[in-house]
Amino acid sequence: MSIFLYAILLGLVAVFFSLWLLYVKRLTRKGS
Amino acid sequence: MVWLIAFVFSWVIFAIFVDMKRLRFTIYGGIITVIMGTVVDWGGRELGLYRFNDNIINWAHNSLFYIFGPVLTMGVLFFQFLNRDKRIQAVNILIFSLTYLAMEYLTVKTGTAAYQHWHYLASFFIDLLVFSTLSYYGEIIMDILEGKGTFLHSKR
Repeated sequence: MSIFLYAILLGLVAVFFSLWLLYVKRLTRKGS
Repeated sequence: MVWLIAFVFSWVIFAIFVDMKRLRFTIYGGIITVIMGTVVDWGGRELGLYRFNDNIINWAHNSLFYIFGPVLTMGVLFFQFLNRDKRIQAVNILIFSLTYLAMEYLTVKTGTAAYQHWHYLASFFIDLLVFSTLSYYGEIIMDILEGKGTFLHSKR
């Protein structure tokens, strides 16, 4: 796998991970 | 280069989500994951289970940019995002483990990490165990440090 493709795919992983963190953050804020 | 890219991405996510007010407590999550990651990956390399290439700067057979990038930042964020709702925490463990697995899969595909006597599933289950353990001890540590949790109350 090329470095370029690696960066794109890792970026996608980072986006999905960030979306989960955002979701948990919102849930926690609603709960408190 | 691969380790540097992972380093940059992890610090970008960290900068976006870190709660600076709680960092003096959540940093212990990062310290624990750095120690665990260093020892486990050093052992894995010593036993010939897997190896890392293009480390740029070596850290116990590993790349300094990996240990002080994704490992450190995700350890801190894991402590910060610990959730007392057990169902959310279970999904939290799964998401953190899957993110690590995806990163590891991509790293192996570039040739920067190489499995010798190892498998993705072994990594995945170790990730699950590590984050489950961190959830348990993380809650206790955060309760003691922030002084407001169920652990301290249950002792009375």
